[in-house]
Amino acid sequence: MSIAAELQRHFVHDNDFILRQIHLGNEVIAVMGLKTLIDFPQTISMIRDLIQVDDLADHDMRDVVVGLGDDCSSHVFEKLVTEIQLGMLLVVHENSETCVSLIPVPQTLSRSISAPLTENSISGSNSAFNESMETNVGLLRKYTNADDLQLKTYMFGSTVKNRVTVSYLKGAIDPAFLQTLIEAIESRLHLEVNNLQDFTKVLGLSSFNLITHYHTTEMPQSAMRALRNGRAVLFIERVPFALVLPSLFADLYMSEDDNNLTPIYTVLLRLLRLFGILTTLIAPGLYVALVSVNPDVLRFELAHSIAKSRLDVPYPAIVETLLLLIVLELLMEAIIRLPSSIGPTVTMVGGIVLGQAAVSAKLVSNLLIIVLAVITISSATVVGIQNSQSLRVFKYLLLFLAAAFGVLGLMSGLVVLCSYHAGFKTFNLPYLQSTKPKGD
Amino acid sequence: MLKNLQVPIVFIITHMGLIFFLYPTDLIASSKETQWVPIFTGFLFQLAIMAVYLKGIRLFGNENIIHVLMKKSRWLAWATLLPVLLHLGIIAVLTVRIYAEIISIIFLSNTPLWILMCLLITIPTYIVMHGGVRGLMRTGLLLSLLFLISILFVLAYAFQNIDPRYALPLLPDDPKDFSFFVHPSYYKCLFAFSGCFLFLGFVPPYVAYKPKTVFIASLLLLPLFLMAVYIPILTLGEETARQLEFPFIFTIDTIEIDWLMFDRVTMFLVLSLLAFIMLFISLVFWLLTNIFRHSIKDLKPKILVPLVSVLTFGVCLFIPDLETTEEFLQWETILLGYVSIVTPLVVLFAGRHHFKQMKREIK
Amino acid sequence: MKMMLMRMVAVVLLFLLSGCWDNKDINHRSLPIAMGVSYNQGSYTIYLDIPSVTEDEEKIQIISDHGDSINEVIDHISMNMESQVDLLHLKVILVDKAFAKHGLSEGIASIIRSRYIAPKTMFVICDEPLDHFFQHIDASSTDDGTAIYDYFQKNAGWSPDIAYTPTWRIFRSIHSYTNDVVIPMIKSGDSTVIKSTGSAIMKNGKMVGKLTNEETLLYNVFNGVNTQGKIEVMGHATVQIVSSRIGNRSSLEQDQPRLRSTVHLKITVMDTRGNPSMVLIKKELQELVTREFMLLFQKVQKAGADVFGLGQHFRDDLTRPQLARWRTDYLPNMKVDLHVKTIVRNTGNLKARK
Repeated sequence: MSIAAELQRHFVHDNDFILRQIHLGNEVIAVMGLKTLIDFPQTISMIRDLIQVDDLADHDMRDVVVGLGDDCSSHVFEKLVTEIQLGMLLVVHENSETCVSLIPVPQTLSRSISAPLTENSISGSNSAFNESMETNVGLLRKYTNADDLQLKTYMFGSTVKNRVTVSYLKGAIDPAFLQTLIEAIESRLHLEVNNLQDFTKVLGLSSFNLITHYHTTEMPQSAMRALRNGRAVLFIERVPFALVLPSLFADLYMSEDDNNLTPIYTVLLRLLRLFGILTTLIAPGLYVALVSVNPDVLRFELAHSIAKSRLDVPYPAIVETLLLLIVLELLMEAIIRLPSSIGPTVTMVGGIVLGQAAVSAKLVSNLLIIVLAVITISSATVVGIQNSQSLRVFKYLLLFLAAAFGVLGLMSGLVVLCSYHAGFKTFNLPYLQSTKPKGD
Repeated sequence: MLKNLQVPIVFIITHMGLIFFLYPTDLIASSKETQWVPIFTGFLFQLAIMAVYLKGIRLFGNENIIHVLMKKSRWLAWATLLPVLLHLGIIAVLTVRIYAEIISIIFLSNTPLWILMCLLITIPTYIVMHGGVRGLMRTGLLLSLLFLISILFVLAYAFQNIDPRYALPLLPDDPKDFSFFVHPSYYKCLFAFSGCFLFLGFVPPYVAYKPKTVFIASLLLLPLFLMAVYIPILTLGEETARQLEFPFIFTIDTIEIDWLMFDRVTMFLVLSLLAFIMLFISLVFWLLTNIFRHSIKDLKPKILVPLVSVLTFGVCLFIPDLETTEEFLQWETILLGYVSIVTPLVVLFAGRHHFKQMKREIK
Repeated sequence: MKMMLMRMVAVVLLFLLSGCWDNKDINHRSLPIAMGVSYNQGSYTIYLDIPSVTEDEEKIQIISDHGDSINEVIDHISMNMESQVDLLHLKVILVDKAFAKHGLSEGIASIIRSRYIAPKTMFVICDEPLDHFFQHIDASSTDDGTAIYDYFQKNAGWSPDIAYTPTWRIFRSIHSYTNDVVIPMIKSGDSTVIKSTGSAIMKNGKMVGKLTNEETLLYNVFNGVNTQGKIEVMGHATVQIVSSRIGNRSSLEQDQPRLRSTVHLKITVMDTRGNPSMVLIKKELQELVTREFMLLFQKVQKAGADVFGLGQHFRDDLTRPQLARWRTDYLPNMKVDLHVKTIVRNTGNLKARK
């Protein structure tokens, strides 16, 4: 049975499989592929352009076909199927039993390069990674114009297949780290990788963490900086950002775009972000500690006015704070879910509930509203979505400890957090480092 | 991050945790005038044992001292390590117990003591189990970044009410001024000088440091030793300071800062110092488990560390009051003296021997 | 996974087990701002001035009770009130004259011992019966009842002819050989809420004499409190002290302590009568201050209380046993030479005769 017929039988249930015979002079070649991935009319005219009928007299047909793309005559059948699934066009010359896969004119299935969605940049480049692996790697190459940039692409999965690209600068990366990374990846190629959780399993990292092993970024310039600092940047097909491995403490407050400012402002901005991080963590706990356990720390005037504003609130400070924090979390989640046309409504309603109404109804105190606003604002100063999620969780630890032990609990919580960050490791690289990761 | 500075920083902040509570009380109790004489004596004692110890440690290079000692002479190793183990165990118990009481006196008077002791033990246990000694050192770095600022702020304000004339007479002219040598509480306050220098010998296989930086760090401690004693004396006078359980903390309580939204700045100081004490306790726990593992039986840290902390907690529960604790501390000074004199000397001699042996082997 | 679960369970347990012993919301605590203590033959009567926490009408609450010890009375009040009395924010402690004359040592010791009352709480003697004083405060309070607190706040109502004495200074004076204090004395005023009536000289925690407001100003100047007090000069002018500095030189001659003090005053002229010359004003001021001070010093010397901390200058000359006898053996023989040097910094918007 010919290859073409065999493939046709394999794809008999796929409506989008197309097999066309093209006559070129005396010869016939068969082209096949998935029409959902390939723009067929364009591709066929491309092939006709590539093969001039006049030339056929001088050359052997087989040679002409092989010149079109990668020769895969010797491949096993499954490999050919994979090629088609990946959106390649197979060209088969039956007479010489030659089979070639070539890059066709593709259907446009991914968006063009646009501005980043989860990160905002006001002082740097505004192109963002998107879902297409080619685009992402291309962007990275464009930003990292270095000789020793190396890329390794792996195909994961047995039924659902996906590609992962690992990139690094040979001269900058720690060889021991690179070796463990590559070994981890190569030993688990059979696993499926569709999302970051899958990928964590592939790397063999522990998945029950409150801080991430990899820093995600949409910005090519951040990825470039990470490469320069000796970190690995990974792309997963269909995941619209780069994974920077390992993630480091500096990712909390450093952004590559800061370097476009004068150094003084860079330092000031970073200090501001660190201050914001601390405020987010401490503010709710401090409120509870000062209101219910250690009011003596406050000045008398302040204590008196807080007591006044909490006058008819029926439950303890910790319940009050939890209540409002949860409403806030719900609001933040709801705004992500809703289409942008309804979003403002929720914001407005939420604003009213979290604002004056809750105070007038004597459900919470005035001061708590201010504390809440401070938390919301300052939690946005941290760099990276994943980091801001960690902060959202950490503040509850401090909140509970503060409710039990007051300011002492707050301090203990901070010690625990410090030690958690200090003991956290990715592939034996400690988390608590500035830009350039070094082994222990 | 700042790898070479981790050990000196931990050295400084763990001392800070020890300096400001019991040390001024004991020192003021031991001498009536010219307190700088006993302070300097203690400080020079610290410098001397540190110099010997660091010199010895350097000879070992990056090798584990316990292993080398064990190989050399089991008898000598036990004579050195067993008192150290005992000393560390007692320190762990006493520190937890005393500081739980301090927390109870200063801010949580209604919370039962065992909960506070639990807190003071669980967190250090977590620090040791989560990150090991490397994580511990990094934790120290983060803690110093977080808390040193508030301590320095409060210390700067501590000079608010001083009357320098209380320091007079400056020069000792009476043989009585040296009577602190025979006063038992003077030996108790040596705890602040030599309470935690031991760890320097056991970290080199895990965390590298330059001995010089640690030496400089211990010089930086001198102003703190002086301040801890002289700020209460200059503010209150020696006769008044003698009456108080924690003179330094009381003096901080007298500070008035008009523009701050907080009334009691003491809280910031005490909290920061307690954070450092937690680090100190975790350091002691680590030392205990480390010495145990390399000399007696190599149990997994996952089992050994909780075991040590549960044991500490159990012993702590049996101490009835602060007075008994202080009494224990007084007895502990004998062990402390033995450990802080014998260990550096043994390390130095063993180090010399080891160094020569290594040289011979290389040849 | 298992490890993580264990940790989470541990944290939850910690929280559940810790029944939050010290957790009491601020609006369920009564925060008295002033406490009055009167002592009568072994029995204490305590008055608490609690700014009441209500939204519409700002009022204060005066509560009183009596018993055998201060703590007992407070517990008793706490039991009978709807919220717990918390002395954490106590700012002023008032005692009556009888208590002050009887001796404050024990009262002060129990305040210092207690972790609740801050050592910087102001200590004041009330020049009239406490019940009358508190009634007056209650009746005339218009704001939220913090009048008595503001009266002693350095950045609010305090003025330099009132003594400023936190509790820890009294504690120090009880134990120190060479340091005594004066305590402000107040009573209810006619048009104002509070009126200052001078200050009490304390010796080892006992009241042994009294200073007027003018003397208190001099006391503050001599003790280097940065004052901005006004002094009337012999009917010719009123001047304001802008800053004062004092230099002391001490010597011991045959067990007689001598102190040469030079007070440097910087003043501005407030108003003048009869167009006096600057030289005259300076001269009169120097004479006035010297004379007043010598009178003040004699008064203090007679009382045997070293409120100026003069003994401090002799710490280097005397041994400790000698210092312990400072108040009885040395202070009464002491000689002070005072020199006042004045600089007129400016004369306001008007020129003055040279």
